Amino acid sequence: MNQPLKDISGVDRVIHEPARLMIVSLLYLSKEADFLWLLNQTELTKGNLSAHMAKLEQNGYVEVQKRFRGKVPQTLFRLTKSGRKGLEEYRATMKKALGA
Amino acid sequence: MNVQDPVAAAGRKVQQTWLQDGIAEIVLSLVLLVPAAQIALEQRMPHGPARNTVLMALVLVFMTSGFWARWLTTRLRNRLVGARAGYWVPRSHVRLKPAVSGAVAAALLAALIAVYMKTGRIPGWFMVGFTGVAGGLLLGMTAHASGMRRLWIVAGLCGAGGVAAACAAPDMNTGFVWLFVCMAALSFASGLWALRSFLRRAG
Repeated sequence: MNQPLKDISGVDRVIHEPARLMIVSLLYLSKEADFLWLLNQTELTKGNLSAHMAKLEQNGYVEVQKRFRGKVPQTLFRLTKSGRKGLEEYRATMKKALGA
Repeated sequence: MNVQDPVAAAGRKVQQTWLQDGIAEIVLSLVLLVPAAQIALEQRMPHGPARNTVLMALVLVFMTSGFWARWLTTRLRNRLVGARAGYWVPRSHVRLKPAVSGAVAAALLAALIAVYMKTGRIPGWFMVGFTGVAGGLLLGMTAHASGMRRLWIVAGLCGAGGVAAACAAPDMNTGFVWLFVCMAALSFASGLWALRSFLRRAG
């Protein structure tokens, strides 16, 4: 197997999943965003988005902050340093492998 | 194989989000009124410390517009449409492709040099028209990058406004005031229309 293909087999599977890749890419361009914004941008269902956010949080890629905006509860998400690094490494690996 | 960078795809989506509700254009109209006010006051206010202070303040407000306009856009967005569209603070906003923006900047510079070489100076009316066309091109590039069709109309009208102000204004300063007010009005009208449509769609 040549090197780029070997690299691709070792790609971060948490980020590689399409919906999570979309979420991480959106958060990469944001300082912070709430659940509703991500829901509108990704067009995922609430349950699906919730599950993906939990997975990202478990892996330390996303930090979560819960607060109240007036009387409405709000869940804020931020990409952590390791989340940013993870996405950058993922992009570099895929670019190299696909020659993009 | 044609594979799109996920961050580039997200960037386009974020650009559309930044522009789709029209709030960025409403704030842009405020930014454009600053140089218009500065030029108008420079011509009309009597000389003195008050005039200098006001003009200096306006220069400062315009120079820092890159920061406060973005802050204001985010604040207004989260206040006006946040409950429907969600809360979001961007890290980066609309970025134009360096190759395209470089080519447009080079073409504009070449036009300036050509006029200077031909006439030995750059006439005031030309500067007014040039600014309008340059503003129109910048908006056109933003329209192209974000896929927002209404910005093409605003871009075309800005360019036309520049040419009209260049032809009709009695002097350069008046021309610039007309141009900036015209661009601000176009931007405000387009932004307001987009915000109304957005709020209607969002229910």
